[in-house]
Amino acid sequence: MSDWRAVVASPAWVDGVTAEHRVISARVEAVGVDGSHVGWVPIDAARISFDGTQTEQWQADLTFSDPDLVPYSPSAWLDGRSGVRLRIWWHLHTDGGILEVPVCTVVAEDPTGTDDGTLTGQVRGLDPLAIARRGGYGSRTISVGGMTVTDAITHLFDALVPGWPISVTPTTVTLPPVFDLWDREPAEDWTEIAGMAGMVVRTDREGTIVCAPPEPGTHVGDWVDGPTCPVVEYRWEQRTSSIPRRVVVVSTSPDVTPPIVGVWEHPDAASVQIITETRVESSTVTTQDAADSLARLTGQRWARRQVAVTATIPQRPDLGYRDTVSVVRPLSQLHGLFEVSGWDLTLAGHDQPPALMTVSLMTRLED
Amino acid sequence: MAGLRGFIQGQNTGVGTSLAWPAGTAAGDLAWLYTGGSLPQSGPQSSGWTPVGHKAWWKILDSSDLAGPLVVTAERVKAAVFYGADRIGATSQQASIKVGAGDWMVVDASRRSGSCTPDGTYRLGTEWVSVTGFTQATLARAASGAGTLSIPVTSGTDAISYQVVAEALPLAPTLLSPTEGQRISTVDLPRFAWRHRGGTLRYSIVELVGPMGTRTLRDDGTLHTGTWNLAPTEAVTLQAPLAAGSYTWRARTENYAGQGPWASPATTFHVDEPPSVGAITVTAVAGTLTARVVATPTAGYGSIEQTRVTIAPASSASPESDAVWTSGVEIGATVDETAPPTTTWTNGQSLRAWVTVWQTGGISTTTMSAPFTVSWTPTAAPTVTLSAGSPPMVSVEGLAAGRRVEVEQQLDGTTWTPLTATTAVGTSLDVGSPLLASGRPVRVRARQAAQASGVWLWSAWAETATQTLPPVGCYLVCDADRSSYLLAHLVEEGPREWVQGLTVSHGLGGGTARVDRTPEAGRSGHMVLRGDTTAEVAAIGAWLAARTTFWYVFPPEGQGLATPQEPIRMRRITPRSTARTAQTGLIERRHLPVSWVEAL
Repeated sequence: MSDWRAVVASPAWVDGVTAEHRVISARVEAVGVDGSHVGWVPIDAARISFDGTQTEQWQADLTFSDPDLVPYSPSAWLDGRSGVRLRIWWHLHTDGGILEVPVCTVVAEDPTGTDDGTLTGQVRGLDPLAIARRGGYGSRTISVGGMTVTDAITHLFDALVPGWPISVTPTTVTLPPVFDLWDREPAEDWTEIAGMAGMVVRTDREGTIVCAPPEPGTHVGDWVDGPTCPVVEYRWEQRTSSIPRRVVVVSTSPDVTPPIVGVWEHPDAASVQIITETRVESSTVTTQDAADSLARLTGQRWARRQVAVTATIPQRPDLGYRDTVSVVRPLSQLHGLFEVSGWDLTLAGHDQPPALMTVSLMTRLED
Repeated sequence: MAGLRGFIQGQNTGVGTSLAWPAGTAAGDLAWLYTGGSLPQSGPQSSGWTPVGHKAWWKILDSSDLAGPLVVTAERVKAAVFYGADRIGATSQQASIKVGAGDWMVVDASRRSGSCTPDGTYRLGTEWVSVTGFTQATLARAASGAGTLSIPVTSGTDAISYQVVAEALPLAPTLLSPTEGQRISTVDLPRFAWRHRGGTLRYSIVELVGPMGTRTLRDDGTLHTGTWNLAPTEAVTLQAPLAAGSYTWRARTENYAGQGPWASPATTFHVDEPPSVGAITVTAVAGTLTARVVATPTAGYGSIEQTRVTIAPASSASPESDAVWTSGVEIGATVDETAPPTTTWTNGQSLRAWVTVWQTGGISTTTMSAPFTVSWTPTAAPTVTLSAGSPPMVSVEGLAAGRRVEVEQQLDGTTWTPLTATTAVGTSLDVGSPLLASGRPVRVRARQAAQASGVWLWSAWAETATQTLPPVGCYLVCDADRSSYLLAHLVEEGPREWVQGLTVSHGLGGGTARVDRTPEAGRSGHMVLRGDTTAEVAAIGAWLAARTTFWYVFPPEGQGLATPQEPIRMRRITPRSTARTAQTGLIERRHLPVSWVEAL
């Protein structure tokens, strides 16, 4: 496995990737399920989108024109049965050599093409979890009750995608004595089991399915208005329409008659401009305390103004989920630490101008 | 039975104290060690010690233990070394303990004040006082028979006793070599090996029964009539080979407890006369590039089952690794192998053939032949000359019809690149190479190959001296065969641009531009070629259509330019098209635009 994390943490990278003059390029590698090198793939362009808030974080759309890539046998690289994955590398050319970072590793299947004398082909690259979720358990019932979360997740993915690289953080948290994997969507099962130990299941940049506690991000940039600001454009949205005046929680549990109702009132209820009443129905709330508590939590969560921001910057595919940037842009009233939630990036060949990328930042709550 | 080898006088010690082993301590002896007090990491400072009882340890010593002193960290130390001992067994908190016949007991004794024993009997060395103020002593006694053994101590003495268990009789040794049914040659020296099992090896007896009768082995590898006790060893190689025949052998070993039983059953092996290769005849007719090796081997026992022939340089000490050719192991009883013309011979090298034959039972013999050579008349190198011209001409002479010819050129002063490869139709060959007209020092070389026994024999390269040839005009040169070219008349050559992607962005808040570039990927450009007649233009167009990659050789711009342009290897990137200028004359003129990109 590459030591790209060491590369990204190195001073040479930090200086080089934020420099004002950069030489950058990209290429696509075909790798086996175990990460071994299979070959270099002549891809013309790749559009990659990363959304850290989704279970399936990675998606890529690739275009090609080399006829050798059109599949003709089960072992062809773009044939979904070959087990070949596409790993997209991003290169930063420095005086000391080329620093390279994997952008993502995706599973390519179902290519399409147009042939009007010359070939134009497209193929979608999917997050390995998107493939895993299609797996299903078959007719078996897999009992993971009483196992540690580590063993249960390993068993689960062993049933869905045997032989795929998996990394599960060891933990001693155990499941309840009875827990069967049987009929539910696998994604719901793995989310629930991982959640018992405070972990999440995601795919890392090298295509390994990782079950680990969420990592805190690193501070990756200061986008402060001024000579060194890399941001070319901000798009922002402010929202106050979801602030509730009142939250009403109604229990729909059949065990409770008459139904229990919990209420929370916004402290500024005297202001006539906050109108919305939010109603929540819950089948798991069965006591007055629980209903009041849920109403209060829901109300407090939505009680403030939300600001959502998208920034357009020169390419930075090394940005990870929850990495922080400090944003100062007085014209748009943007101040403070924002976290990266995702980005969209288009990569092309040496004759194309390197495109700018759009970075989505997580919604912040302001007063 | 076990015995006391010696002891280390009990004493107060500190961190990392070195103590000398008792005189005569040997590998296989058992050491008992008491490390008292409460220093951090108290105990022996080497590994492999087993803790036992109260702050005590034991270990069967090996040669690495005895290579240096015993190093301990402790406030005080007591130690004794026993031979013929297997382990420390029971422990007790009195000065008496249950033992077996042949055992010893060793006691760690201490008393608040005053002597530990009434009269010092069974005491090892002298008493002394520890830093805690207690009187310390080490006591030891041999058992006369099984039962409770005790040592008299004064009242108030604290005693911890340890049973030193004597070695049991050894088991029958494992016979390792020769193995059951093995066949050994009368030429080899048989090696006997066995493994002693149980306690410290003191003596071995190895018995051999064969046509000469019953013998035992001596340490020097000779055979002894009678019984010979071998000093501690588990292998003996005979000094002389055995006569052909059938043999059995067995062994027994002895430790401090006594002699163990014979290994049973005895192992049977056979000694055979080895095979003989006989006379080896090698036939290698000059110019045929083959070598035929013939021999008629005979078996010493059974029949010849496999053979192998290896040809290697005559002076080689390891023919298998230096082999020029080998037949591999062939099943059969006769040797008649021919190394084919495709073998990588070195002309005239002195070679030998090594013939190996195996007989029934596996014994083999290898014999080498007299030296021989495989030689042939090498192809004479052609003569090659380079002369200026439009374009420069390379003349190769001294060829013969049907021979392969390769011509290479050195354009950069270092690397040889192909110019052309073809088959000669006559005795000479002339090729033109516009790439040589570069204004830089260049040279050319050529060689030819004649065929012998289906193999192409290449001559040495004939090289010209370095020359500098002035640029002579505009040519397009085929990349696959650089002696194929076209004279190209240029109307114009446009600007050349390096292929690169560039993005400029300005961040919010003013300041300098940010520039992202891709690495440069070669040049691209545009030129317009001219033809004087329709046929000429058609010929240029057809030449370009037939080649995806070609070279563009262009003379220097202006007079007297010191460094001419380098030729560019390029590909056409627009479809062919022709332009007609206004037709005012009788002769139609046409322009042929060509857009190109560099093919790195």
